[in-house]
Amino acid sequence: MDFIKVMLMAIIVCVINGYLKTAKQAFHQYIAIAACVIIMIAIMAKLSSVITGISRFTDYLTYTEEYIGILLKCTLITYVTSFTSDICRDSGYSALAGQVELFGKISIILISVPIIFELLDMTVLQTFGAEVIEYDYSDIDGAIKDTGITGLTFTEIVSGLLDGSFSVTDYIRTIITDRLSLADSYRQTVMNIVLIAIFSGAVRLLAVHGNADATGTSRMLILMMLVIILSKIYSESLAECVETISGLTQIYEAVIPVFLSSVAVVTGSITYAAYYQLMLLCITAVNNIFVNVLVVLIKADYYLVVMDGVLSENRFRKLSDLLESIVKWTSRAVIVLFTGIGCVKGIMAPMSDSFKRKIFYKTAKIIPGIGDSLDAVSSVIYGSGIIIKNGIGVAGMTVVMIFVSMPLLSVTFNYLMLKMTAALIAPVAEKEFVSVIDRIAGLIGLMMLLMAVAGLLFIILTGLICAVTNGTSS
Amino acid sequence: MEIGIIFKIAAIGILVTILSQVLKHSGREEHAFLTSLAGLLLVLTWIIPYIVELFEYMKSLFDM
Repeated sequence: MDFIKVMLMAIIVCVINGYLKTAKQAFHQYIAIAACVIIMIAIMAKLSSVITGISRFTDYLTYTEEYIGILLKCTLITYVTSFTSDICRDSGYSALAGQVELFGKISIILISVPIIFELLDMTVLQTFGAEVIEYDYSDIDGAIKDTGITGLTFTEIVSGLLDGSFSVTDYIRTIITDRLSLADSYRQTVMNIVLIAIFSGAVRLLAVHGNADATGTSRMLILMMLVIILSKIYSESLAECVETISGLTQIYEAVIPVFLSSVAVVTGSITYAAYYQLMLLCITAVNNIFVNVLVVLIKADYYLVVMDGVLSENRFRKLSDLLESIVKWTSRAVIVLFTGIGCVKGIMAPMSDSFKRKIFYKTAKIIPGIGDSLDAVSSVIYGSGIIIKNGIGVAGMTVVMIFVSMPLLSVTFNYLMLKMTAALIAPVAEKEFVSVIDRIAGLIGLMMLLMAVAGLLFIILTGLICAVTNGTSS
Repeated sequence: MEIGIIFKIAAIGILVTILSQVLKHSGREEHAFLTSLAGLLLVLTWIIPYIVELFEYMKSLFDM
């Protein structure tokens, strides 16, 4: 059916009905119904090309295939329901039209039961990352192995760093190529979201009058699907974030005794004790503040986003903005706090150690015969001690970097993917869609921040201790 | 599915209206009623298959 034909037909129907209405017979209604059917068939003929296009999409999708069937069914029900209820309302039977709408809504909810259950599974019943696994380790290698880095040992890193054969950039390059090979799964997620956005557009076409309730129900369903897909990405990123932070603290609990005893060789017991306390405090803070408070805040924020998404409103927008800024500022404050404490201790503790050492040397030098040789031997021991200490420190930093970089990269990829999708569909999709995607991307950005801050904290502290204790020669 | 159905219904409508007017004026009210009933039934037998066809078409379209 041609476009012009449909338009002309509508005008002709209006003209004929203008006459037939005066005849006190029901024929004008029949003509209107016939015209509706004809136009609807013309619409469907146009839509069939869109639907075959969508069916080509489904070849690329793996885990949301069953959604497509539900989406098609729900779009069909929406079209038929609004068609029927409009005819009823046109004939003057608005009660009948209301019942038809209600029936359509209930049918949509019935076919969408699997989706509702999946949403519940994804959001309410999820129990990931809540518990921090407690285990004891014998050495750093054990801790690293337990947290998932394979093929690298702490000893290898230390020796590699000391003779210059270990390259962090090479390692990170392999990680990036590793992640890029996962591009297929990213593409699928993007396509899922785009597809759902197309469906929502197709359904929204019917909501022009604003009285189509079935349209509202199917929109809610479609938003639920979007939330499910986003929840998968979110929970994946959150699990990765929690695992990384707790794994990081475990690695550092193992690194600290080795590193600080090498620090004690070149400085003294006061520095050792001061920094030992500081590092332990830092680990406890990261464990408690990050895992138990900030991650929980992110989770709470996620529920707010889900609620907003399903209700397609922005009711909790302000609250989630607040949570977001709390997370941001707390993590910044943690960095500032620990760097500050580290600097202050770096000024005080090595000084008192070197003061003690000076007294010791002065008294030892008095002993005749031994004094000179003691000086030579101690400077050799001291010099190699600094190299070993810095080697261990840098190895600790390298382990942190390697350990954080992989999950951080994958979370960053998730973040970029969501942001890109939001930008991609923003011109065509509804603003609720874009806002949900954007807010979930914001949550993943917060996780990125937490991981980066936790890693950075350990790297800064280690670097600070290395730098501060280098200058304290006797 | 052609635009012809609209003209057919319109023709039936006009015909039935004229017939029932004539019958009413000649004092045969029950015949006038029967004529309009027959017209309605005729139109319904045309329209209902069309609606069924539309719904079947939609079903086949969405039920890939």
